[in-house]
Amino acid sequence: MVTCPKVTKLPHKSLGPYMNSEDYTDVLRDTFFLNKILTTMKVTTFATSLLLTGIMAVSAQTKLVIKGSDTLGAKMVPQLSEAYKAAGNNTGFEIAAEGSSSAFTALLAGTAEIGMSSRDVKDKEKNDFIAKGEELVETTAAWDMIAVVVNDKNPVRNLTLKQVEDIFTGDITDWSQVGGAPGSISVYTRNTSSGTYKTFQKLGMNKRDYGSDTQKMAGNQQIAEEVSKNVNGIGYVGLAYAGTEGLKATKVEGVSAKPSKVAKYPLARKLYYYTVGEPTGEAKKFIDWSISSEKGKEVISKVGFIPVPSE
Amino acid sequence: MSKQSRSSDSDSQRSFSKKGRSTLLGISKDSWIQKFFGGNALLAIVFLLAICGFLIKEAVFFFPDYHKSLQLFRQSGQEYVTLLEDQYKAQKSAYALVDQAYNIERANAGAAELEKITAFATARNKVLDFAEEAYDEWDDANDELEDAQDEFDDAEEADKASAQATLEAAQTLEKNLRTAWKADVSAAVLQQSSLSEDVKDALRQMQPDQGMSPFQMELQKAVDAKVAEFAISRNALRDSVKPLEKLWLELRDVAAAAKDKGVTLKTAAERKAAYLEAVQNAPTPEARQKAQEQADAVILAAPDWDKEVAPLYEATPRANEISKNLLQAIATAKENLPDPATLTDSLAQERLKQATPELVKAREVVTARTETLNQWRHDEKVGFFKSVTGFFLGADWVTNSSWQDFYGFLPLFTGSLLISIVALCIAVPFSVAAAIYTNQLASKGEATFIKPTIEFIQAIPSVVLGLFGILILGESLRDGAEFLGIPMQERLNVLNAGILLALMAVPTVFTLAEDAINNVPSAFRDASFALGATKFQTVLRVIVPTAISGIIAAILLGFGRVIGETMVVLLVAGNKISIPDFSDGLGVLTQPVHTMTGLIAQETGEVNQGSLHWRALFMVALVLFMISLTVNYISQTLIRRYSLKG
Repeated sequence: MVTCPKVTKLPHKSLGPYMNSEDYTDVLRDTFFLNKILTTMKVTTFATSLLLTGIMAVSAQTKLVIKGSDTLGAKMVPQLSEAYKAAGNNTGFEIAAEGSSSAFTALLAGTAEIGMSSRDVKDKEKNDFIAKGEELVETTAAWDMIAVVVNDKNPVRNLTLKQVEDIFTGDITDWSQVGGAPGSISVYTRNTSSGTYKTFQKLGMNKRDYGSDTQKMAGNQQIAEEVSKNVNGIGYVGLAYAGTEGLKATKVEGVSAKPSKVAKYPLARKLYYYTVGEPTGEAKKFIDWSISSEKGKEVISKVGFIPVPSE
Repeated sequence: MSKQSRSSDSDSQRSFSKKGRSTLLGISKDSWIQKFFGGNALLAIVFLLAICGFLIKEAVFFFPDYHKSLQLFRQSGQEYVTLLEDQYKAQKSAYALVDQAYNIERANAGAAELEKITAFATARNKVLDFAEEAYDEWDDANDELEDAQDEFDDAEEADKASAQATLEAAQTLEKNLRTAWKADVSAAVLQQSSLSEDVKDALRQMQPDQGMSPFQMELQKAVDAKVAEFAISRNALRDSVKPLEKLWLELRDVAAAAKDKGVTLKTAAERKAAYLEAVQNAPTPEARQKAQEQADAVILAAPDWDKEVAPLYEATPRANEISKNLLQAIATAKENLPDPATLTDSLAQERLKQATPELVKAREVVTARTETLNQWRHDEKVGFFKSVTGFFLGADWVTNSSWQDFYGFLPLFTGSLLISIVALCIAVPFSVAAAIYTNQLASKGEATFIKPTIEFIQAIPSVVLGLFGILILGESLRDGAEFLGIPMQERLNVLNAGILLALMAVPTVFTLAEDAINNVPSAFRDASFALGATKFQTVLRVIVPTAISGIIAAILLGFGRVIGETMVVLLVAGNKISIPDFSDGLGVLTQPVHTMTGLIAQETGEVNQGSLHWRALFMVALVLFMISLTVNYISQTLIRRYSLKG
């Protein structure tokens, strides 16, 4: 395996728990396009585990059906379920990630025990449950947070959401327009196949399209690298990369990008589990484990989200 | 076997006879070997055809699919909304220049005050960083205080007392932490010895919940006063776009909802079929009924487009009114903006001068789009040819959009072409000169050293070159450019990628060109010498002209090599999907671009097989393949022509 350069610079002292060896694998994967291979490997492991699950089902095993958002269902929940099984729970999982809306239809039809959603339940969906005499219970699964970073020589330390939108859509083209020294802004973004690309569009750009002058980078590491080397650069990265040397995460609407500020930070969103009524039995056990156990938190940080701070 | 060897021992002549040869399925060994080699060539042809077929199979439905997508874009009214967005963006880009001029002028006019503000802000950032922990603690306490206040306000009479106790505790905590934070701040201020006293005082008086300190605000006010007149015209221009923005965002939702219906319709038939199948397979009557209900719920009829887009038509008078006002506002702004000559800063003057033509352009865009808007019909058919021109001449490549995907090939093509040309401009002189030198002028010892060395470059993996480009070449190029006073903001750009690709093209061009020169019959050389020509004259007048078609073929193959290279351009070209700005002259070399190969590598990973995006990528691949094939064909033809001559 080729060693990835400058990896040692990555971890930030205050982000210790959010950066671990797995992140280096992520860096390599982002940089060297191993996604495909890894996915294939994951699918294989998953298929094998399904097969094993099938065999074990004979020996009276509980089964948990989880449906909904692909933000949660792509990596986080499958990895959580693996870790959960590895922790000694004899549980089978059926995970279907077809978008947040499918969580509510599946819960309503009774075809899933847990629904995953990357957004709040809509009133209309809630009404469907009320009409059936059921109550929908919401549990925060994790946080998704994106840091906007500039070069640390750039005096700009705070941007409004509107300014972020204008910069990334190309309506603002010069740092002098947002209180910096004159210089044309170089915008670095993730490429279109990244989930963050879309999330940022939703949270920070009022769903508008990226300006045609933006540069599409392969991963967090590349964005961090370019912004740290370009005084006029701006980009967005996962929280784990915001501490890279030469970078500074700007505040957005006056709130700094830190795990502790996640509730106020505009470029963060909650990811939810939904259940019909208070979770019970295996569903409760799994939800509690994934939110509050150390291993669960580790998995959540590993896939780039922020675990819910424990009370 | 033993029998055969014995027989050949007994009579060596027999081993040459037909009878003595081993055969398999009635075909001799030699024949098998011959077939094997012949078969390899055949296999290569089969593979080539298979790749062609595969590319064409995946790409062929791109145009009909794209046509459908463009049709839906019109039907759902998105096209109408984009006409509004165009106006918004045109105004914004003109305003951006005015805004820059204003901010730069303001920075210059109020330089003294701003210097103080910057010093203050820098010190403030340092102080705040120092007191960050204390701030976070205070912030949490403050949140708690707010919660306690809310609770107290909402509390019933009976709980009032306990709520008050909580509130008071929270207040004390907040107060204490505020003091602690202020203590940290004061401690940090002491370390900033170089600051003037008034700045230090202002820093000490900061409060954690204060956005901007009064010290800063005073100074800001003084600065603003210096550009007050400019501010009025600039703000008027800024605000003039707001009604348009509001209308645009409002109608955007209407069109997006309509589009969603259109997209859902595409898969409705399949969904219905799946539910009906579920009805067939349902194990229980309840399950069957549920599936039946779901099947019935799927709507197969197309949405009533007339109804969907009715709000757009209704908004047209409003849009006209808004555009009229906007045109008026832009005209007024042009009148009221200060004369560039009156500005104190030269950069601000420049920006304001640039703003004037941009404002004219914005007016033109607003007028033209409004006109189109009034004639726009959602039920007008989109010509099929539009999907073809949209691809080959489209300047936008927008994918995974929440609004509408566009697949314009031009930015990728120009990017690839530009990088390849730069690479060849660098590689050709070196490699051709090296080829001539090695073949004609060098001593034998030199030649045996130079040839393998140059060919060795080919052994460097392209990903290694790419990393070299990111980490070393990019930085050195930028430093070099800075030294020469050339602006180079991006380190990943055309020049960087071009240099690395040149390195990859050199061995190809060198080897082939050297072969071509080598193939010139030695009689030509000897004859030239016999006529009294010098070595140099012989090379330039006889050898090179004779080998020229071979050399051109070598260059073309080098071109084929670089335009198809992926890893280097993906890592180093900067990946900006827009047509390079050639008005910059040679500055175009410092711009980032995206390439056909890089884009395919970047976007294929997560695309759904068979989707429009997938087909678009295959279309790009097909065009790339055609380019490579054509270049190869031309060079082969040249080589053939040359060898006939030789």
